[in-house]
Amino acid sequence: MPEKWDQVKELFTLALERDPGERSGFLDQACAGDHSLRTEVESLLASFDGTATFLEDSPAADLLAAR
Amino acid sequence: MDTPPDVATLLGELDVGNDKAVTELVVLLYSELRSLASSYLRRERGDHTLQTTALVHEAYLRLADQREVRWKNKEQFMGVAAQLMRRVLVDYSRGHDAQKRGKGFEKVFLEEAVGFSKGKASDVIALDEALTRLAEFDPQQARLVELRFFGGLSIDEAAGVLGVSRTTVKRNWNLAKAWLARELRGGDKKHA
Repeated sequence: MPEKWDQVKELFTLALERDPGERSGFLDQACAGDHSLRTEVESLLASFDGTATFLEDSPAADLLAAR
Repeated sequence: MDTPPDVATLLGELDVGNDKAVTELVVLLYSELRSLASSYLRRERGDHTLQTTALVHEAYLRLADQREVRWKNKEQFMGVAAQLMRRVLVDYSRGHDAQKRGKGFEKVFLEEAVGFSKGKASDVIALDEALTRLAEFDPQQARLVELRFFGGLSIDEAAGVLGVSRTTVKRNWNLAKAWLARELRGGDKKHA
């Protein structure tokens, strides 16, 4: 299990709900000097930016729609 | 060797919450799906014009059309269907990737049926493996991806299956995608 997964989950979600410009300041406060926690959340936020279409085109969607 | 349980028996066990029954059901249905595919193939003489979409569609209908035992609910059906699709896709991709087989059904099966065929078979395998890793520490997120991607469920439907709110599903979906995308890019770090 990745370190502090529960915290990572929570902070990722909260950060994502903020404007991109406010995220850094939010994480400054929320991570309170926990460098590895912050790095992990930022890494996932950066990864999320490229996922607009990722996994959204399900191979099964048409099949279900036809039922 | 014991006789393998039939679909009706397994569906009955699903009602009492036997997770093992889900797995067995998927295996059983998958083997039915394979025979079905083979019979189509014989008729089609291995031609790649096989209507794989129709074939998979029929598999879904078979799954839905279990008259002896009622599905507990639509969600239960969806959950099994998603696992079945995952298995079909991954097996197909492995066969495709290995390039070992001749004109077996793996070669044509789903060739044009799935969006993933536009990408590489190795993508499906990598996704399957990453999903298995995700399941080790966050099974609910992994299940969500299985339902959404392999099962084709909407956010709302997935919320129904998992018994959580739409908001929770949306949040988990966002994080699961971010985590998986990073994994599939080759992983910029080790996750201990």
